Amino acid sequence: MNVHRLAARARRVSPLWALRAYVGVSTLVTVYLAAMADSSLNYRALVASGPAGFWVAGVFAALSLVVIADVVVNDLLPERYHLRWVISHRLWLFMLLAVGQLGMGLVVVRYDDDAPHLLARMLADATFAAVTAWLDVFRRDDQ
Amino acid sequence: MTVRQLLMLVSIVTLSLFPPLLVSAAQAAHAFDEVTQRLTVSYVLVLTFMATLSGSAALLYRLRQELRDAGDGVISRPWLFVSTNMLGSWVAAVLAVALAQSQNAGVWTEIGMVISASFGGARVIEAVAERYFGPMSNMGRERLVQRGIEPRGGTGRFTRDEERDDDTTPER
Repeated sequence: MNVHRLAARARRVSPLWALRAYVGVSTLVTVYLAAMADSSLNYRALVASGPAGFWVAGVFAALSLVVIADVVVNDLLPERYHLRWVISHRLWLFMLLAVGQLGMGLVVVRYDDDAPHLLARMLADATFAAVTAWLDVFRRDDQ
Repeated sequence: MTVRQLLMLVSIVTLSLFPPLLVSAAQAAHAFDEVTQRLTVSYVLVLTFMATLSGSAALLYRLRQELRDAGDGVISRPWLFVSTNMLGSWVAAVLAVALAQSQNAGVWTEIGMVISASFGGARVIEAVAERYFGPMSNMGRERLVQRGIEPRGGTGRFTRDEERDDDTTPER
């Protein structure tokens, strides 16, 4: 393994890739807990919200996977691999993930108002996603 | 367009927002006890944050267009630009919540209504502002000054100096 080549690539990639990866993985974990872990409060809240909740969870899981694929392909793989469409639509991806986290928080709060610890985590993740969208736009990667 | 006409137009736009707000508020007040039980502090906090994020998405979308099209990316009136977007977002979100609560909408319906109303409200108010005040980079007092009209009560604080027209954002 050529360490110098790896270091050169690390200097070339966007420093925001780790933040984008965190937002994607965190949203995926939240969706997994809500849709699969039947002992979690998220799951009980999602069930109580009706069948639409599982459709919405599926959409957000797909969006999270797109964000993770964006990081892997556009930032970590060699430059000949790219997903240009995702780069130009990162604003919508991250804003949707942000409001999706808040939506999950709203569902949990409506189910059980005594869950501020879960709410705090979702508010923090939503903030991270929104800040990532802002930083990405001002970095002007797609221009 | 004179300053008097501009103020009249702003008044008409502002007043036109109130009838639907009052109707929705009246519907919500009809079921006031039930609504207040559902609208806890945490619930309102999340809804406010959600409306703010939706409004900021509309704002960010427009900012991206400006950064792309304006070359140097200078936005002359960011405070006015931001305030029109966020005001539209919050007003529309209040309407959406009042409507959803009065209709006993499901939680996902309410979320969808708040998100779409906040985003749409921000875009509409921004479009209305641009319709009557001109493009964002020439908004408000600056546009009047450029057209040779002295704004009433102006201190000159918001008029752009000739030398500032050459401003460019620093290279990154």
